[in-house]
Amino acid sequence: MGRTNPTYRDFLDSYEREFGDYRRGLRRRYQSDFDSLFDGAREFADAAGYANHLDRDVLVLLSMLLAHEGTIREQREEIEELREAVAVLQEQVESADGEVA
Amino acid sequence: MVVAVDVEDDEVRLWSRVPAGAEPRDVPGTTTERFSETVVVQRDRDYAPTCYVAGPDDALADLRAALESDPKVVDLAWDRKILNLRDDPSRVLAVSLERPSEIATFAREVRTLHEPENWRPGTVRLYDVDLSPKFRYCLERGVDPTPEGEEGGPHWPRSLSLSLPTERLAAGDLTALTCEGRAAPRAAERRTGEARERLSPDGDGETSILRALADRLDSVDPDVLVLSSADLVPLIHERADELGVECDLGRLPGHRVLAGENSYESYGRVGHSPARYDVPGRAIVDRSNSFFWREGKLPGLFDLVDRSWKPLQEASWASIGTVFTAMQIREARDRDVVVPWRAWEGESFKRMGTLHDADRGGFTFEPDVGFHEDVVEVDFASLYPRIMIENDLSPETVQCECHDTDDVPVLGYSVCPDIEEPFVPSVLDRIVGDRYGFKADLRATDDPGRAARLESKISALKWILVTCFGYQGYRNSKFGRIEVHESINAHARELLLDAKEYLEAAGWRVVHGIVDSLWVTAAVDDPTPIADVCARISETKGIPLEHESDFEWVCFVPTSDGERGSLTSYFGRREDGSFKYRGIEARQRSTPAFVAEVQRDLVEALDEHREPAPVCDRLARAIARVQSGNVDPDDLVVRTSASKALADYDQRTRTVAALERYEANGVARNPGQDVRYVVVDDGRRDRDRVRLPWEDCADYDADFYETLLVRAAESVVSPLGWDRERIRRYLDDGRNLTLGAFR
Repeated sequence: MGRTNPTYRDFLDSYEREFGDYRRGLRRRYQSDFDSLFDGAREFADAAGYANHLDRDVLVLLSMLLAHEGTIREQREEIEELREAVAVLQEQVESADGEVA
Repeated sequence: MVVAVDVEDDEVRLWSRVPAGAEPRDVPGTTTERFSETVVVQRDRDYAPTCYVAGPDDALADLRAALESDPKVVDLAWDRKILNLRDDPSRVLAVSLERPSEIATFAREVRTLHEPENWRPGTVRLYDVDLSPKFRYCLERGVDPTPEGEEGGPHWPRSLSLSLPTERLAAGDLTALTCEGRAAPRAAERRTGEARERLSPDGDGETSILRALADRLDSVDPDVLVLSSADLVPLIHERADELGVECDLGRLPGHRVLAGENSYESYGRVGHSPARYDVPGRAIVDRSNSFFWREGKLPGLFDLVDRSWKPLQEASWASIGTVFTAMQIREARDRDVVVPWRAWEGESFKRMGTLHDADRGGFTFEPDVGFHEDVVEVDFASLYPRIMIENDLSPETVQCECHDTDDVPVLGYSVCPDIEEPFVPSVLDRIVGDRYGFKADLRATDDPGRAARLESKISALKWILVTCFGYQGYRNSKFGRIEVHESINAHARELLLDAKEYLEAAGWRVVHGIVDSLWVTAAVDDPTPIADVCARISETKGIPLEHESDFEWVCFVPTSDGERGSLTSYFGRREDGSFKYRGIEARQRSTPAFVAEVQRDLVEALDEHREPAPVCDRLARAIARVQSGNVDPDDLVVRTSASKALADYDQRTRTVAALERYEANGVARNPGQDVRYVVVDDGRRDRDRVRLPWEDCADYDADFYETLLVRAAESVVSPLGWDRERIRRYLDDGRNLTLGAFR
């Protein structure tokens, strides 16, 4: 194993190192965003490793996108919950207003 | 009942323990002598070992003509043998040699004299050349070297154990020699008292020690000598000669050196194998050089002897691969298959795409780093061997020439359905089946002696099963093929992913998975019971998925840079209250006992409080203890091994400092051997940086051990988001101690 190509997890590490200069040129607040992009890619190293005949650069980008998609889904769910909570609160406020009136 | 086999050039001796007056199993060609009431020796003076040569007819005819006048050769004959598991029998020249030691000489001569003179290189191939001598004798003569008496009963082999500390051995000082042994194996005696004892309690110097040893050997008459190091053999004999004491470790005088010590490299790790000695009439087990002694003790070893027919002494120093190969060689002999001298099975040509698909290991999920409650662990029992058994994967079945079917998932290799009993699966099937049986017996027995023996056997066989598949990919494997290795991995990946899908559909979430195990938690309020899911998967896949443990909680640890989950480091608490640790310091060989103990204590603190601060309070106490200088230096010993000789190091590491001290103490340390030290001044670069365990270590370097403690604590709290910096900040504010620390 790993004779033909480095494993995907090893590849990802070296790929990130290749962007070392790019990261260095970033403002600090973007450096942590940059890091979380690669954290996102790492989250799916298992699936990317399994699909190892695909273009690895594309796998990295797709994994980053998928991490984003996941974050968007979580935020959407959170927004939904918050909306429901706000709606309940609004109802309470309105009924309280009604009572006062 | 044969326990010891002496293979010498002029005769072979088989030593057996028998019931008083009874005869041993008959071995054709031997004469039987009674050595004592319960020990007999069978002598064979006519043994002529045989090896085989294959090649084109004219080359074999030439070779036969040339060998007619060779004085080493006692017999030449034509025979038919299977040279490759996939082939039909071929005509071979069977060459029998007068002495066992001449097999190697003969093979070398064919390679370096006969072949280069007359034919192109590789024209002739040699078979059955490199079998170890005792094993070869048993195979050729059909001698089962397994004790016959009831296991643990009065006619079971007797053992005597001798120990001498490393530094005393180096100094050639026998006065500290201790011994443990029983005239008859009585488990109760072992438990109650007769533990390790000084041979001569009055300590009258070496003469009385050696006399006491001679008496003990006489009264116990052991069949097996279990030695802390085989170097005791020459030391005891030389010293006895010098002092004029009659003390022989064997049943006849003398000893032989079978092999000198050497260091080797395997898979990037340096190992060391010490010199091997033979004494007549008794099997030697060198505890410093026996993997299976550590894993399975004598019961585990005897079980392997039974399966492989490798006599005890050879089985004890064999590696897992060697014992597994011996089992395969036995099976091969039953099928008339001979064993190639230099295994050579080329890798078949494949398309690049197949190579990409095939050259992969098992599937590992990214662990969900952090603290998880109510986790269930399920795993496929003996996954790799069972994949081979279930799918008939063997060197002669995979990618057969007669079928063009698509049997291995993704890779599309064919697996021949016409072979009745595929070779490797039939060897493995017995091991898997018997181990399963031992486990059932273990659950049923209430006899502690029997339980201990069963556990030893289960543990020894486990190692055969976990490595058997890797052996398919090993280039020197006698019966391996890389395509089989690839097929096993392909099946394993599919199985784990299928299992994941079943579990998810049943309402479970996968938090981690490695090759054959999955850790899951409930994803919905009322998931399908895990037992039902396991039963369903086992039934569909034909490989049992077992419900291994229920964890109250599990922590998956991030890598030291904190960037991702470490794939193999985790710890947790099972529902039954026990803890499981994998990959963290407490499980690492090099970790000092004190640090390991503190780490386990920190895990318990985590269990109690479920947050990092109280764990760090517990850590602060441990640091205070180590800083006060009150920790026993024995518990601070770091254990590692040297990867090269002292002169080859160019960095001033702790290992180098320790090696220099070993050298100054006259204790030889070769690459691959254990190196143990206590750090006394980590700032230094010379040999005063460390002390050896038997030197004065009271003044250890507390700061060094504090660093180790903090590192161990980091593994425990990092799943909760605390890194080393955070721990240090917390510790620096010493007033933070909560009451929890003093409970």
